[in-house]
Amino acid sequence: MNAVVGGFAQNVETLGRFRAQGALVGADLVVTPELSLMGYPPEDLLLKEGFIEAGAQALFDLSKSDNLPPILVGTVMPDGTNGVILAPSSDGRDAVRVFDDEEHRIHVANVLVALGDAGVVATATKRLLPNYDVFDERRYFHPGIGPQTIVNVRGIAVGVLVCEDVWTRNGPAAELAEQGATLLVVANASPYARGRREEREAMLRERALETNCPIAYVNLVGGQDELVFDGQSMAVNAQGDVIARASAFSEELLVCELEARESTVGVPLETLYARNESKARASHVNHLEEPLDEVQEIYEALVMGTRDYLRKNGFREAIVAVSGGVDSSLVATIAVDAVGARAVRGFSMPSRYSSEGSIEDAMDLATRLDIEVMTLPIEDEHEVFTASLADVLLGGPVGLTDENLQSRIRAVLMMAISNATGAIVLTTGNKSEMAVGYSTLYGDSAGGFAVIKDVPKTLVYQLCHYRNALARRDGDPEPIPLSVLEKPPSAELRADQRDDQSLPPYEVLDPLLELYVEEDATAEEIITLGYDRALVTRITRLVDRSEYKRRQMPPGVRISKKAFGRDRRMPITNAFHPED
Amino acid sequence: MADEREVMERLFSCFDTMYAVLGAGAVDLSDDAYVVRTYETGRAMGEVALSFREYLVDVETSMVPSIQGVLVDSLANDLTGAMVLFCFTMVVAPRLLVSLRDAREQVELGDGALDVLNIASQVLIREMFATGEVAKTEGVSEDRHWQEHARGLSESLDQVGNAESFGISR
Repeated sequence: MNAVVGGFAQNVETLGRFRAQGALVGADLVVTPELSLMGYPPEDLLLKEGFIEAGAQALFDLSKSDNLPPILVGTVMPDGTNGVILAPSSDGRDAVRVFDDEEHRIHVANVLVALGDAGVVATATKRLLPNYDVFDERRYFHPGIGPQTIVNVRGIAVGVLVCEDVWTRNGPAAELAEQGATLLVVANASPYARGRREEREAMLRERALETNCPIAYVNLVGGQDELVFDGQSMAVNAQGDVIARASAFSEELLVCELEARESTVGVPLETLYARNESKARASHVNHLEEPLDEVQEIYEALVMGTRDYLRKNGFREAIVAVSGGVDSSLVATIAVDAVGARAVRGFSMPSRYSSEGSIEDAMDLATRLDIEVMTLPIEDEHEVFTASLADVLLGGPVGLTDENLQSRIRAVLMMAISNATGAIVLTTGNKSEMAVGYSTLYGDSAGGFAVIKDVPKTLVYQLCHYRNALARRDGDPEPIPLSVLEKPPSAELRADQRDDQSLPPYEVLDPLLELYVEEDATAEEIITLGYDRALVTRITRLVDRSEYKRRQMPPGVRISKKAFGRDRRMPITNAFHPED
Repeated sequence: MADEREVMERLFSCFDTMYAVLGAGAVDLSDDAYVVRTYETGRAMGEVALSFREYLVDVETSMVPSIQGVLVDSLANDLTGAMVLFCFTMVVAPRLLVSLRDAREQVELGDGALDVLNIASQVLIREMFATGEVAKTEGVSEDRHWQEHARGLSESLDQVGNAESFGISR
């Protein structure tokens, strides 16, 4: 399910749609993702009393349906309501301030409620609140304590878990099994990152073997700011084998038939709904979607993240500065795949240093993508700015200042077009460049959404080759011209400039950055792995010194386990340089 | 970028296609309950199409080939009507709901157009519920051909670029 944060009406509609489909296929129970009613993560919206109230109203609206299968819905619930018992604050402060009728401060929990005909039948509270990587749940929620929740659905004791609760050995899942659960369901909002699906499957296998229970794992789909949720909901049997898997990056009703021991344990979850035994049930049971390979998965994540950022924020058009380079070519291609060629426009803004080849490549790309492209030469503006600065800078801007000036002129033009048309500027910087500060503040980094900000340069090339191969397979023209992929990378901000004049080759740089940024290795640790000391010192210093730039970058799709922004939170003011 | 009229015309065509195919196909079905439900669903789609037509005033009918294709295919492959109702609830209506959602979010719509879209969503959900109700009366089938064909309906839409929705413009 692709839930929209705060989009209660849409989410109620989507939940109703899946419940109706569940009825058609004869589902005994419909399970939806974590916080499916309000979207994930709602962040500081949870501090607004009105938001909590709107969630309660949406839950009431959803409860009005009858003669439908019971459903587990993710939402928040104040302490003391519907059996929710929360742990007291360890520090005496309230995580969320909500006033009830008696004006007592109460706390809220991240819950999964079981809805029957009469409304809420049972509530499962999240026990383990993640507070690492992109998660900040202890800022908003209090953990559940007290008895865990088991609902009985047609003689099966269904233990109910929320996301993090299933990840821990000897944790809530094991407790549920000890209390008599014979089947576990877990609602998740697990963001995509490279390799995450394999981790989830390994964890579910371990948990199934630990509890001797089959497990249904239901995950959110869709983009939310930097995060992309990949779906890929699945079911494992009690032996830990994956027996059903939904597709990645699309909404889907996955129908699972699980073998679980009969039991009388649990709160009966019944409705007047009479189970359907129609043909439709058998046609959909235990579908096992083949997982995507890694590059394909990343490409789909970038497309979905871009599409949902635009769609959910009301942007109807995207504009991209197409330079004829590989980064802007990939961003334009992703944009077209996300929102269609008619909603994407390219702008070629050549300077005195732009090569004929690059200008031709930009035009070729636009033709292949079937997008409108306009040429806005920046020579006149460049001359005017240079003249304006001549007295101040004693002869005018030179070197890096002059290079960045060109980039900033382009940004001014792009933002003016954005201003006038409402289109969002998609920036084109990649993770390697952002890491070492190889970008211009208020220049090429200025815009609304940084599509490939978490994609290292070497992966940019892999993604381009993948997308071209996909086109060949489908008999379509390759979107990215071969000449774009073959020429040496260059910002073309001075004569004969190439990236490798300022940086080591990306094949060397990217693994080093991965160690320093994603693996949190120190410079000394990297040097001991065999890297050149001078190179490591220079690159890690560049990374540290560029933090102030990165803080001012637009959001972009997270595809790694440590992206700049929500994941990697480094101080700007930082004197920690043990390699000196 | 699609404008309001273009989007409304596209959505009108989707509903009008369902109205035309379901209405024409219902009479040939053999299961009485399915005949009634297919006819009723078709009529409901027709009412929605009419509200689009009234909003647009002057609009030409044009079938949406992908919707027409899966509905006609399911009518032809199961004369009881079970498959066409399955197709409506599991294949066509969910995608159309996503198109309606996208239209609301991606296009600047006037209040009148928004009203039409909101009612269209409600009618689709209502008809999905109603179809599920009728399906309960039938026994389970082990017919492998039926199951494979039902699965193939979604796959055929995936292949023509309608994996999640029917889009909001032609």
